[in-house]
Amino acid sequence: MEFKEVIGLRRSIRWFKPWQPVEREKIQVMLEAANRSSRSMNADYCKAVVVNRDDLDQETRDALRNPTTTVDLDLAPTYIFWFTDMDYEVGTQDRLKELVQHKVLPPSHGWSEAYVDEVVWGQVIEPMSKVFAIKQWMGSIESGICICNALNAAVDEGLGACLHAMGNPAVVKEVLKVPDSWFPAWLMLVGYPLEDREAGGQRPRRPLDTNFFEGTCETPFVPDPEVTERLRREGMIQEAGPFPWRADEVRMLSRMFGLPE
Amino acid sequence: MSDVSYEEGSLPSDGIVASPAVARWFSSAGYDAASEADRRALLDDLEAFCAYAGDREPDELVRSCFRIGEGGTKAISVKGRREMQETIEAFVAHRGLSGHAGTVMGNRIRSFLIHNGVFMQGVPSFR
Ligand SMILES: Cc1cc2nc3c(=O)[nH]c(=O)nc-3n(C[C@H](O)[C@H](O)[C@H](O)COP(=O)(O)O)c2cc1C
Repeated sequence: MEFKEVIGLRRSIRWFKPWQPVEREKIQVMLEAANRSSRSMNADYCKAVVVNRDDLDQETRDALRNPTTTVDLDLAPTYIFWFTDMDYEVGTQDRLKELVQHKVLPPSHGWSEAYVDEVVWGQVIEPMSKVFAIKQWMGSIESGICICNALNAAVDEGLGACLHAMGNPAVVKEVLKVPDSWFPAWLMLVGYPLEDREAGGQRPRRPLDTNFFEGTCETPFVPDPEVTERLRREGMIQEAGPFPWRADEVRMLSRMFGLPE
Repeated sequence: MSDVSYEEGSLPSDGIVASPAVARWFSSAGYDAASEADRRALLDDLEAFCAYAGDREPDELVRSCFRIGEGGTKAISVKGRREMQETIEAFVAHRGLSGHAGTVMGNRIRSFLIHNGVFMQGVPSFR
């Protein structure tokens, strides 16, 4: 699938075919996409544990339920638990020096191994790593970038996915044997969409110039209609929801599983 | 299972039809457009549940899932919602229903609560 179409077609999918497992190969693609994501200091912020729904005992599955995430846990065959490793600064000194050696961080831009040791590590990263709020802020953003790549890879592989709050982190920690330094990020539920993959149409979003600016925050970024038109043709901007038949789609799906209408 | 046990009682159908919570349910779920027979079946089930849950009015069931704070602020009551889920499960068992039919019955009552702003989810039947 073309990149723009992947972006345009991604939806939070809430109806999965509970009977169709996800091939391990496709999960690997998602994880590789996460692993290829950009990251500061070339550090390993993001961790994930892939679990098949049917490999979890009923007690654990019930413990994961919370008021907003119940049906989804039953329908999705694969769960990916995402974490941020709060010890992410460990090893970054060497990783930065590796980037210096690879000329990714070149002397032309001021980089040297000495600069990494004496300035970047000693004066920036190490002191920063002692301030929890900064550490958590950075780690959350970095994990979000990884997770986003994985979400888009899922779409490209013909899968559906949705992020959910990770219910009952204590049980998750115990069952998955999560190290102390891993901080829960999100639970990603993955499977083959049972609802149409367009899931009733593209979600309502505010126009570009509501959120993005040019020059200063007082000048909205006004989109060029020709570019907008091109993005429609190329699939990044798709037909807005709700499709006229969306309510019927959801009603029929609800009846299939006896869920509230 | 519920530690709250209720005797079956009676509740006049007229009452249930006049209930604002029932009107809200029908309107929000699109049941206003359903057939007379379908609407009757929904009302009968809700009425039976109201009776089972201690002869409570539909609006009272909704209220029991909320905590009304000082100044009228409305918050979900964790205890109220949990008890309601337990009562629903007990009601389904009391009616001798299980499997898909049991799920449908329980979720029909949940639908009434959901459309009245009580966030709760049921378990889908597919196994
Ligand atoms: C970080 C994150 C957390 C989310 N958490 C939940 C959740 O706990 N439960 C849920 O039903 N949806 C959750 N969602 C899905 C959003 O509600 C979803 O983004 C929204 O429906 C907009 O649609 P879209 O993702 O299809 O564009 C989450 C999404 C993100 C990005």
